[in-house]
Amino acid sequence: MDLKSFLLEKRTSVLERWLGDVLSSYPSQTAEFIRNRKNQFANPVGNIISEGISGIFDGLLAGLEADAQPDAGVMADFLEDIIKVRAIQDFSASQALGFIFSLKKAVRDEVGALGEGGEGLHKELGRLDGSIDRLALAAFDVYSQCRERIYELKANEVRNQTYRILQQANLICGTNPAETGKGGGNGDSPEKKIG
Amino acid sequence: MFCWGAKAKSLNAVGFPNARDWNPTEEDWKLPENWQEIFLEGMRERLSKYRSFRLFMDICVRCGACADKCHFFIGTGDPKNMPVLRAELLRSVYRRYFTKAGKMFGKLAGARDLDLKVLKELWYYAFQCTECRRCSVFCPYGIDTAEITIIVRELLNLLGLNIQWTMGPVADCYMKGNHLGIEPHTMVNIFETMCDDIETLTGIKITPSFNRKGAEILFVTPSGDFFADPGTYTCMGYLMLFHELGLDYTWSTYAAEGGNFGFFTSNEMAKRLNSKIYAEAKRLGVKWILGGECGHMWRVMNQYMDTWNGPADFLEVPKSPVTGTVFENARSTRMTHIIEFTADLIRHGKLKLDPRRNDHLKVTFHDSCNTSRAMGIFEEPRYVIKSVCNHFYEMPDGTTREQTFCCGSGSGFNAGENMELRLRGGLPRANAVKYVRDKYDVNMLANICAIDRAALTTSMNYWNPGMGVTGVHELVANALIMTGEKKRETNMRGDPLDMPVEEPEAEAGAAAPADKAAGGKANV
Repeated sequence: MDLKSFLLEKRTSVLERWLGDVLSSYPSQTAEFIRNRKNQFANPVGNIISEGISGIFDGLLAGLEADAQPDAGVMADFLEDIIKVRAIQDFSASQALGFIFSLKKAVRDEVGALGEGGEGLHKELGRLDGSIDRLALAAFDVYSQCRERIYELKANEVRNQTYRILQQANLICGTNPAETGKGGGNGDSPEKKIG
Repeated sequence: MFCWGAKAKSLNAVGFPNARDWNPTEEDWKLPENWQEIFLEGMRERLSKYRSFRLFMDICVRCGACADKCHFFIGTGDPKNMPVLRAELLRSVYRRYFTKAGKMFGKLAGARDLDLKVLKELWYYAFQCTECRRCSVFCPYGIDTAEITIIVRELLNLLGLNIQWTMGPVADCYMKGNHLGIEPHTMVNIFETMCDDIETLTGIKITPSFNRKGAEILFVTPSGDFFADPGTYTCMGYLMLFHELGLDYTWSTYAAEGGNFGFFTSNEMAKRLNSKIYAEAKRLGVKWILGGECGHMWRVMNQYMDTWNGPADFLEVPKSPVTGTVFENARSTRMTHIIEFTADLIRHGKLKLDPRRNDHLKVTFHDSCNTSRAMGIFEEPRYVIKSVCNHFYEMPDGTTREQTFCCGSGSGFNAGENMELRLRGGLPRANAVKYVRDKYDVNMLANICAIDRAALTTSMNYWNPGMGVTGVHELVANALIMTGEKKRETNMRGDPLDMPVEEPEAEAGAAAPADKAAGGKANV
């Protein structure tokens, strides 16, 4: 059995191990809630993490096909959804992104459970590790974008809250339509360009 | 993650105790020497004054029904943001000093000494509750955890421990009449700018009156509606609607703030700020008061104003001069919510509307915590939106109406320094918005709250980029066919209309504009 077939067969178990590792970054009461509350609207963090790691895992498996590369586009959305949450929670950058590397451990634990029978699979792990490393690099970019977006939101709030008053004090005399009170507002605010 | 401490100048402006500049990140919070005594005496006073407070301290059985209902717990993952555990921070102090079991058995009875660490923890978590009351909907005993937060903030306030984002507006409102400290001439200038924009859009010149004695109606709205986008478009909507109706109304530069951040500091401060509304209504001799789109403003008006500063027996029960409808629900306060007023107008066919002008929008509606859970306003905004828009989609059950999720920034901490905290609190709402965006291509989030318009704009730009945020009366203004208006080329925001625009009919609209008849003079 090759690694892909093995991981497909053990998909539920690997994802359970991986989820457990992600949830270990939360207090135990919270982890219990995130794991067990299934309603996606009552428990958005749990839903985003569960859906996200499943999507990333499937994307990585697709990349294990001979000559195939992981479909970064498919995985990017899942990756962004998870990182958007962890970038605003009470985590350092390394804590926020550490979950990606814990997939390596989840897979190795599963392969290790085979004992000597899993030796053949170990040879294939290097390729999966490479994909996970590339995913981690992409995750750094997403995390940076999220943090940058937060700082821009702070700046834009100050701008929006004082704009009319500055306008009244004749401190704004631009010719840009966005600076003359028309065509501005939420729709044209700079943050739109970020997303 | 916290907000900056209240400054001495803001505390001094309203005579609050222990006014000094302090920094929450420093060890020394510059507390009075007898701070424990002050805190516990304040607690004793409130336990005897508010029966509900004593009840809420005593009756929780820790069933956990509220635990996972708080948007801050859901978004932060911090167990102390479970409403039951947040309240426990104060209950433990209550047990220690006000119950026999706590006095005798201490920790065994779940009691804690009130030391500096406990005080700082109380402060930290009192400002991670937006007093939205979602948890109270699920409590089998009806414990209103928001009221516990309100009391904690009052007690902290006795020690000068408030946050500047709340106290600055309180001081400005007390001294100048509104949260931003906008003075009367500037307020009038802002309205002139908005009226210029309306003239560009419609060809109609509107000249609203200010502080006009003898007007039938005093209109009060949160100042957020006239100092920041996208609230300004909603405010322009009010101006256009009232002009079209020929409403005999006036703005006030004295009662220039519907919001009440005093409500986030103490009951007494809220009462002081609120008093100007009835005082101004009396001075101007109006018959009744109409209020704009706001959240906590309406909780204050609906639940507290009457007993604080009433009875308003010098006013009449609000009666629409257009339809004749008497707003019996406002018989006591004599103040009506504009969404009820507008829904009544539409119901009676008094407005000419072209909902196609909103065809570029696929709209969903966010129930604001206070108007939904404190007032039960569910149907009116939906009725108005469906009358002025062709594309409306509800968010999923469990996220709307009385179970609505908070914007994440209410109750006075829509600050910049706690942005991540606000985004955590805003996640459950944003998650439901994302669902209708993905499923129905919804691109506009409507609401009837000024803080929502500010907070959700930021929240959406993080969680759901491209999602617009609007007040309902901006949508009304888009659709409103005004008498004598020129061909509309754009919507309120200046974006081109993507529909075949027809010339308005000559006889369209209602009565002659009274604000013109009234001379439109600013009596500042």
